[in-house]
Amino acid sequence: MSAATQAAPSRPRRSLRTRGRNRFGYLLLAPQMIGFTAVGLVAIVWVIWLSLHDVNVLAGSQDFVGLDNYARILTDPSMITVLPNTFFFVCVLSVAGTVIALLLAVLLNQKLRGIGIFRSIVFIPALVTMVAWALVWSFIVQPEGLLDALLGAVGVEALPWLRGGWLTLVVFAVIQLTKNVGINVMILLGALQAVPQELIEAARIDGAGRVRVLRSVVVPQISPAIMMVFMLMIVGSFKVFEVVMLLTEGGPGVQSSVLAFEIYKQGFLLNDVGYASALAVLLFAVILLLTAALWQARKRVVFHEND
Amino acid sequence: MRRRTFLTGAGLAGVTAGSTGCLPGFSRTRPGSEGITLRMTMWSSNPDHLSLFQEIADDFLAEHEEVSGIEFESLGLDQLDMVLTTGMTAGDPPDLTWLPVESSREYIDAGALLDVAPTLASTPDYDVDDLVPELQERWRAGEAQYGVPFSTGPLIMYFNRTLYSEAGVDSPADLLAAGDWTWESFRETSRQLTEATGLPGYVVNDFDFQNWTRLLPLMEAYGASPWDEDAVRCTADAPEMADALGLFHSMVFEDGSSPVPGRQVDFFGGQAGSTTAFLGSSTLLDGVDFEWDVLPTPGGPAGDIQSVGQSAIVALSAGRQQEAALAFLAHLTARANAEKISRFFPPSRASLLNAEVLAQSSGLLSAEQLEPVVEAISGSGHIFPVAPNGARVANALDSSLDEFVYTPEADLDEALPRVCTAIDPVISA
Repeated sequence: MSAATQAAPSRPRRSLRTRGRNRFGYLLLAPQMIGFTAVGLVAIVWVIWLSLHDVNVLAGSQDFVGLDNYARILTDPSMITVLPNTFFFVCVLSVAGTVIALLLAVLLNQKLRGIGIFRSIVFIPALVTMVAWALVWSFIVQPEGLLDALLGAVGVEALPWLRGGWLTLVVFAVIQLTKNVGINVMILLGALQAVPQELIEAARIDGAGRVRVLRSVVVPQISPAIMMVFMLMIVGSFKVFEVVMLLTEGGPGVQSSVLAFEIYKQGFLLNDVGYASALAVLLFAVILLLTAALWQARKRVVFHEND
Repeated sequence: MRRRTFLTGAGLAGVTAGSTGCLPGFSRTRPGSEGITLRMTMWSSNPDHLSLFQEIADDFLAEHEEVSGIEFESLGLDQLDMVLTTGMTAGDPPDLTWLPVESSREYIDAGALLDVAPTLASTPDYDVDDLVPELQERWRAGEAQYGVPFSTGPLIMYFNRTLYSEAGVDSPADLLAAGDWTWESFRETSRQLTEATGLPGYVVNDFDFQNWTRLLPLMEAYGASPWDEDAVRCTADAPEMADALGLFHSMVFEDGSSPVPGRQVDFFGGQAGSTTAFLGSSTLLDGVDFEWDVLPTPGGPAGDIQSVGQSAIVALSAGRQQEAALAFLAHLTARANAEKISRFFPPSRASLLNAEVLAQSSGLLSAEQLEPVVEAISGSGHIFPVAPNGARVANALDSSLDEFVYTPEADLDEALPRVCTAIDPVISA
């Protein structure tokens, strides 16, 4: 009885405190949520609405066409090239980007004199804007440019770097990778430096070599960071755009185009806002599904997530 | 408790400060916001062009008290459609703009342009009859006129006299004097010049293998056009087009006398023997360290036809200040101001369309040099062909030419039908 009479008045107090805390939490979240609703959610809903219309901006008309714009994606011959190109970047940039960043991070995690200089060199491209980076590369890969001159010096014939096909896609992937690898290296380097030394020493005492330590101790310890880099690379590689626009405008034809550039071209250059919106919804859905699948898969591949 | 109160207060203060800080970002303050402010987009950032238009605008403001300011916004021609459509979508388009003739039909068909004819007729001293009727055709539909051309000029041939002289090769002027000024002969002398100097004999200005209109001098000389006169059927697979593009293809990929796709060459920087460009590009020759000259573009099987580009000043239907915009359009293109503008751009007024007037206003070109330009505008010239749905057709044409024709191994008999396959659905849409 006494316990009950003591507990009874304390409940409303806790509840009030909890409610107050919740209110305070919501208040702190409010600016972000208002911003997301105003800029993100409204825009998403509006784009979906536009994708169901034939929009003629010049005439100021919007005619409801249902799912016609989505059906057009299936019959658009350029999509036969654009969609595989887009997924090429997703596969190459996410896998190669993560592996190269991990290897570089391991290399840069050594205790050497002047290691800071090497870390800076790897990180500097991340500080440059993509436009400047693409322009620098345009001088390197243009006909009779630096790359052709270097190849010529060793007796190799010049190659049409930006004239479409797999070669142009590889050039784009290299430009994109070298630009962004620095940030990923820094994320992974931070994670590597947080790995407890005693775990590594224990593994070594047990007779593990360097590769075994890396595979069985270090990688599992930094797996949350690897997963994050991988997801960021996947989402980012769907949005490859500047390099395409600045170096080839998707050409010849659409041989070097990707989904993000097609959205821009249809919407802003060809005034076909309805079709551009349908492509944007497709891109949004694909990224959302892929991210959700990865988020689910993380439970199997990520260790120490809650540490 | 105190800490929470402090944090709550700080949070509220932050949100309030953030919101109020953001608010001015959404309101646009313009000079003289009490009256009407007009906005006009143009694809020149040349300070001389801008100061001339500002000077004309100042005269207009002095006569129209209701208009308190006129803003000129410079942008690239390739950005024009994007800026206009984005502005229209956002409900904040410019009131007036320069518009290339290639876009005229698309904009007129969509009802995006205002009819300026009644305003021109009621403007004192405008002299509508002085506008050369043939040069207004693309902007007229029945009695309505949807823009007034301020620049009507052919693509002309500029060549580097010094380079030809040093190489000991017949220059375009020598070919013209010998009565042999054809694309075939020009191809041969360009090849010789490249062999002798290592520099391209010919570069197409403002082309980059993405602007088919810059090849029109060659196409017209062979009687080729990408579509028929009514712009309903592709004719890019005709034998005339195969001959014209075959010659260009040979210059690029066989002779090496014209740069391959992606290679940047600047005639005005002395890096090529010749180029085809508009009259306005002559300002780039100011201060160059070589001698140069201009000529009409070469002839071909179809004769000595010159390709004439055109741009007009138009008022947009989506603009907020339509009456003031139309009045300013009439002011800009009235005879007195058209004469001022002809300093930079060839006019479409009969009274101004002579070599002497153009030479007086141009600091670089003589009346003799300008005679063929005037002849092309008023006689032998063809204004650029126009298609409905212009942006999509141009994109399909440029894109398919780039993919199928501008490659070393292209077989034009197979490539050109594929170009038609690409543009036919867009023309007929």
